[in-house]
Amino acid sequence: MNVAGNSLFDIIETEPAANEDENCLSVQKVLETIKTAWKNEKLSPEILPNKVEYIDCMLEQIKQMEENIEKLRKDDIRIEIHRMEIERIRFVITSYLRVRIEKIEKFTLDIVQQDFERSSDNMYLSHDELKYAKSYLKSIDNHFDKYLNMLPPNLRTLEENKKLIKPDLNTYVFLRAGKDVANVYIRDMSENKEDEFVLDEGSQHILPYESIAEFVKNNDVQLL
Amino acid sequence: MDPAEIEFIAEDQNVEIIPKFNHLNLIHLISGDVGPFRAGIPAKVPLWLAINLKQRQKCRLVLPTWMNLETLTEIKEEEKKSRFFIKMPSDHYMEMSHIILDIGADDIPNVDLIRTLIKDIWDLRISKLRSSIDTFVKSGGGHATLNHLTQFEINSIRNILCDVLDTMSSLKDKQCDVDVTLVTSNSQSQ
Repeated sequence: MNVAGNSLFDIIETEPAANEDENCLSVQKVLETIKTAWKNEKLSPEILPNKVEYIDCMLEQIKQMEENIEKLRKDDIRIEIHRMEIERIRFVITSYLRVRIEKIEKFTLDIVQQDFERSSDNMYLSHDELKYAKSYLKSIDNHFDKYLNMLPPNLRTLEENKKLIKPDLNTYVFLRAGKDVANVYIRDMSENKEDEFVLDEGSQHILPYESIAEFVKNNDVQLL
Repeated sequence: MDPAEIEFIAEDQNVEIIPKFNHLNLIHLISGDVGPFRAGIPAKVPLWLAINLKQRQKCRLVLPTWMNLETLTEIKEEEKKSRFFIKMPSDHYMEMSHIILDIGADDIPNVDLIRTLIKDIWDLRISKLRSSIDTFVKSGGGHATLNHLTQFEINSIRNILCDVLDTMSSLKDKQCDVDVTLVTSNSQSQ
């Protein structure tokens, strides 16, 4: 029984190789990517490009792992260890998706409008998130339509841009540079000019999010 | 971020344990392999696993190499002398020591002394942090480098500092607007 259990787990080990051909990534790398995305998403004011293919890959791994756990003997020490790890990964994934939903509900119109201008390959929202955002938007509109009609006629119109809530991109964030990053421009409000900075690899900074937004998106810097 | 989440992140760090059980095959975790475990032979595992095994009485914890009286006293002295933040032996020294000293107390000699030293280092660093923030904010903000500051320390000042800087920059923004309107109204009146 024990031997059978082991060979099953060996199958899991060889499984990532198949994915490697597709994504050139091991399952550890996928997990690292998800954890980094989670931290960045929690700390950035705006919604970041989705990592749905990594999430799907990880959920698939978890499913396989759970199937294999079922086949182990009930007193096997590995059962609890694997279950614990799966719970930890699930927590990260749930928390990640939840932060994104919070942002979608807050900045619905802005996010949908921006994604509308992107090509379908570069959309920040995943397919399901976009579907959710659209239905959320619709229910807000319905809500406004319904209650605005109860107001006196001169107050009934509501301009689109009054409903638009944008994230504050000027807000300050902490970050660590994953590599040397040149051409970081920080706006100096009092003198209305921009200063240029270079962030050395491994250095940590506090500065306005706007200055490094693109470097967060291409993973050159990590928010702290 | 919630302090509990920072602690959660710290639990991914590897620590050494001395197992009290045998499991001679590798355990293939998603985050990497652990094992083999032989009773009495040290093995490296993530902290979350060490906590679980310890709570089930299946292992003893080995303190990280830096978590001893001599090293910590040295760090404390160095932190006192230096004007800047010194590099800590672990990016998660606060969370790790909190967890390890809490659950592993019975394996550790001088646990209270170690705890006090870490608290001293923390206090030194936080007061240094407060005074540098004071200088930073008074200088008008903009951009600051914070090398060697750990995640937990950053988290402890995040809300208040970001709030202050955001408010300052929005005030400056408004000030600029006012300046502009003043200039235009002046030029119109002339």
